[in-house]
Amino acid sequence: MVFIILIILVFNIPFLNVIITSLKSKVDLISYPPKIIFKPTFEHFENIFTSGTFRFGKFLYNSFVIALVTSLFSIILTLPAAYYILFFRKGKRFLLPMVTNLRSIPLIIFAMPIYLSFKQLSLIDTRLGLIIVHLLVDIPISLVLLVNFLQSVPKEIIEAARIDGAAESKILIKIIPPMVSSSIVATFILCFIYSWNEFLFALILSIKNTTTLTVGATLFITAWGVQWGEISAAIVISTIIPFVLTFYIQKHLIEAYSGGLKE
Amino acid sequence: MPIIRDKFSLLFKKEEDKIKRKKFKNFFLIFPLELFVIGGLIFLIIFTIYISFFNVRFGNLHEANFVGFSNYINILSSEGFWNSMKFSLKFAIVVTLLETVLGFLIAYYIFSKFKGNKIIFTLLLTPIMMAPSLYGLMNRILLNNFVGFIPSYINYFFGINIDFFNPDIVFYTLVLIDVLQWTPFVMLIAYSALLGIPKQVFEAARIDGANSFKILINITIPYISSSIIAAAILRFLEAFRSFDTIYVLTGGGPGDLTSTVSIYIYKVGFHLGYQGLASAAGLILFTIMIVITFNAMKLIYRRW
Repeated sequence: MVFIILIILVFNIPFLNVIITSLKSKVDLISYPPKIIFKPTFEHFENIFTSGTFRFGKFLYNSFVIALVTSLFSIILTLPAAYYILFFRKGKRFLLPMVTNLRSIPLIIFAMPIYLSFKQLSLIDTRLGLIIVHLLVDIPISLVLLVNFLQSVPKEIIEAARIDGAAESKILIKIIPPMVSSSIVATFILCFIYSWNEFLFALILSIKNTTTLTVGATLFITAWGVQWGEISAAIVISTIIPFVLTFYIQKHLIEAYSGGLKE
Repeated sequence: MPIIRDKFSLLFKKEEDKIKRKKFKNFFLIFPLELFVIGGLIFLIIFTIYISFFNVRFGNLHEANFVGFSNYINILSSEGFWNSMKFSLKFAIVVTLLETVLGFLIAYYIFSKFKGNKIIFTLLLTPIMMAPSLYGLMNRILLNNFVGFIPSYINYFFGINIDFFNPDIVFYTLVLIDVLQWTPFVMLIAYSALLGIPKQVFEAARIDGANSFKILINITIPYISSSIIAAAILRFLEAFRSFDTIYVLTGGGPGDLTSTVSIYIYKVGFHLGYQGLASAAGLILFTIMIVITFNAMKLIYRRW
């Protein structure tokens, strides 16, 4: 019993540590050895929102909007495609393998052309630009996931609906979503988390308007030194959401990777 | 009789047309995005190839000159590029091995003792959900010489002063951090695979008198081996193109010491501004990865 607690602790130490560090006052931060028992303070959390130079609120807003829009469009665009692949059995031969192979390519390869073309299209430092880039990566992920989740829909219901003369679009809107709603939400969350955590393109394509949380956190490392309290507070806020969301989707993750077979 | 046949064929033809039109409409409604994504990717690749033949500097397309293959020759003969390839390879291999073994062990442990315990499972899963760059920063805070818990307490209890980011041991620090974050990923896949083994197999084996160890070797491992291998391959590919974590921790290391291929290409393209060079490097990397993946796939499909 102790062993498992130890393992859990080891894997969560960085997270626990950053929470503790964010609550330490400036004096406690630099004490040696670092205090385990101290009086917590929320000044760092206040600072990052009110500080004129860091504008953490804006980072939060950017990350949130980009992640939200990306995930929404990802689902809207891939759900019909997943349905089509499964129930018409057409695109399976080409689309799925191509899409899965895409994930083995380092994204940096696309950094150059995207940067240059976005420069021509004035999409640098815009949220729209980042959304497009994230979509390019999110769509394959959500397609694979949805195809996986849709496989649990019994074919008979679809056949019955078709015989009753329902148009395919009706089936898509009225029948499928209620049956796989939790899977759709899970895919949405996974896309959201991916977009939320994305770093490389946020780094390349943002200057000051569309800086996201991931890039913004690095801004606390200045030439004059690292603001440990503030950066910890920023990281805590940025990672608390994925942390909480994990509890919701862990069931779906197992389902996705075990091919639907549970005990 | 011919009249009836004709009437029937007319009826069928109408149905046929309706179905054809329906298929056409559905195709259009459903697939445009896929074409958009694939078309976009093809465009990007062609554009990259185009750029790689010019000496584009800092996003300046208009003033770039055609330089033929010199970008490619430059990269292929550049020490920095191959060093980063070596580093990426070394890093990916070490990390994948550690994570696969540890991930499987932990998954097996939970499977035997805490199967179905959602809280424990989720708490072990959390590192993979966090942003790699933020996770890197978290560890920087943890292992930093000034405010980090670990170096301070090591110093306090043992009197030794470990600098985790010292060029000599920074590789191991980076490995440690990657293992901490991604072992749960292998664990997730292994655990799911373990859950997928039908109970009857275990029961039958126990009835036949097999002990736990024998069951592990002869039943469990064969059942999940394909999942574990898939997880290992996924991790390897991901670790090879590592960027976020290492970049925020060392920025590519003192000089180019800890630059993975992605970091190297990024620095060439965006810090130095040689975007033609970076494109060429990217394409070379792309070809290498396609070749490796293709051969790996062939190997896997032949085994099964």
